[in-house]
Amino acid sequence: MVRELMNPCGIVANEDRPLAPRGGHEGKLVIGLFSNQKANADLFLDNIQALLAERFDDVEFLRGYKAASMPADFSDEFLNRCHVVAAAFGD
Amino acid sequence: MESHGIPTATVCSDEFYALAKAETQCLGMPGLPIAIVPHPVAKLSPDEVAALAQGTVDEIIRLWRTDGSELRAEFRDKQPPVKQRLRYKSMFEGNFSAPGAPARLNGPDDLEGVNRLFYSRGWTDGLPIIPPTPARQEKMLGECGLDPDELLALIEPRQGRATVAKVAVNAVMAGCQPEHLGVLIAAAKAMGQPALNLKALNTTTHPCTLLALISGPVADAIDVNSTYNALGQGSLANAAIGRALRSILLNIGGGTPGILDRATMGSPAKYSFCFAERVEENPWGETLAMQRGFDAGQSTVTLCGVEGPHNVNDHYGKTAEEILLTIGGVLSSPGHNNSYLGGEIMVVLGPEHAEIMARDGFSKADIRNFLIEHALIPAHALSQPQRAIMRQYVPERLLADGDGGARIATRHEDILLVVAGGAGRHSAIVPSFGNTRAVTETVGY
Repeated sequence: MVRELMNPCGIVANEDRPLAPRGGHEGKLVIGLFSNQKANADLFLDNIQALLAERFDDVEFLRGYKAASMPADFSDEFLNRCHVVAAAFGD
Repeated sequence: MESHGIPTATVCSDEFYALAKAETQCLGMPGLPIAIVPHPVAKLSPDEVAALAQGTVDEIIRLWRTDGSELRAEFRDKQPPVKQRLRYKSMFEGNFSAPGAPARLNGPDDLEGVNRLFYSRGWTDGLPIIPPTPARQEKMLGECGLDPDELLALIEPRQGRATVAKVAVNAVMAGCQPEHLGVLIAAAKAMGQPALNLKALNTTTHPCTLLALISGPVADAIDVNSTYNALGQGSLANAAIGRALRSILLNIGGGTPGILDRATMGSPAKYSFCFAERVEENPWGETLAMQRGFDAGQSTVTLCGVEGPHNVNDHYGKTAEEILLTIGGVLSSPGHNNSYLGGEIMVVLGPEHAEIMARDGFSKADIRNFLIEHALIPAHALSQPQRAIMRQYVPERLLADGDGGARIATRHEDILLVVAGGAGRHSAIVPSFGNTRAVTETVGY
């Protein structure tokens, strides 16, 4: 025997937005490095910064932070100046 | 970042990839590129972190340079690595959360069969549920007069739509009675208040849950226990309302243990944690809800993102100061989140402890003052890393720059005082997640 039951699951959104266009940047590259400040996240990005500094000739780094377990709040400078970003979410 | 037009490489450990993946879906960008590194990162030595960075930098650059549509296709379908036995065997058979998913499904006709099916799909807390038949859902909705499709909140982390109908289904499963629905409707709305920070609460490694504190006339009307064993078992309303909230967090929010609910240890309080304020034995005549701006005649539910309670036994203290010193001692643990993140901590005063404090002339403000002054984490219990993280997040709590101890709170608003429980010389403390604030909604359609 079969009977009807109610589906208990909440319906979730199903968007599939495109990524930012890649490439096309010329001149000095501003790289944002964003940390959630969990243990070793900052140290990891320090190392990434050093490695990237060896790979790119004309580069500037901006560092951004958020408190662990809290939503990110990006500064205007971070949003307006970064050409690419690496975000570390360690734990 | 990507939606601002900035190519972004997110680095995430493999244990948390499922969580990151769910986040990308919630944000409407399931193709977000993520560089996966082995977990754990936190315990690595500086040399090991350097090696990890060396092994990751090329992938970061690849994620910045590869064509966006190519990356999008690659990551949209990338599944989390399965590192543990999947307990819920049919969890991924069919997508019951997708837009257009049917409101009903066909299931077995017997209680055991329904429970096997729902457990297998990961839709229960492990205990047997009441099968949510259309008739039972209709009875739960009763004459509430609400539109079943009314949206109450989006429940984090999946931002599932908590409609009145979905809340009623989960209420049936948890064993609620129709008269409990009003509290659940209010609680679902409260879950959507940003101050609660539900996304973090429902995904963290910390063993927090939602405490539903019921205040006002509804507590007696639906028999929410505020006396003996208030924080424990034995009352239908306490047990079923708390359990229904967990069911909502699971089935509407997506907080599946080991997948999006990442609690390392978990807690028995995650099954159910709901009680009422004891009004008649509150010597100050003011409930927490009243202190939060509601009238004595208003019925409210206050949600707090908390751990399970820890008892405070003080049979021998004869004065307010003596008992508060014991309470302060229990509050002052270096291992709970409040110690370094700050935030609210609840003290549930048993009526006998509360009576002594009031007799000695202590107002609720005096109690908070005393705890701010005397609830101190001893210096010898603070490791250097713990001290360093406190200096970063809550520097005002450290007593001295050198090797002093630390206060557990410095602000009145961070100590929530509630009276509940039966006779006996016990109180309880309830630490919170830290990065969360209690939120209150009125009960009533």
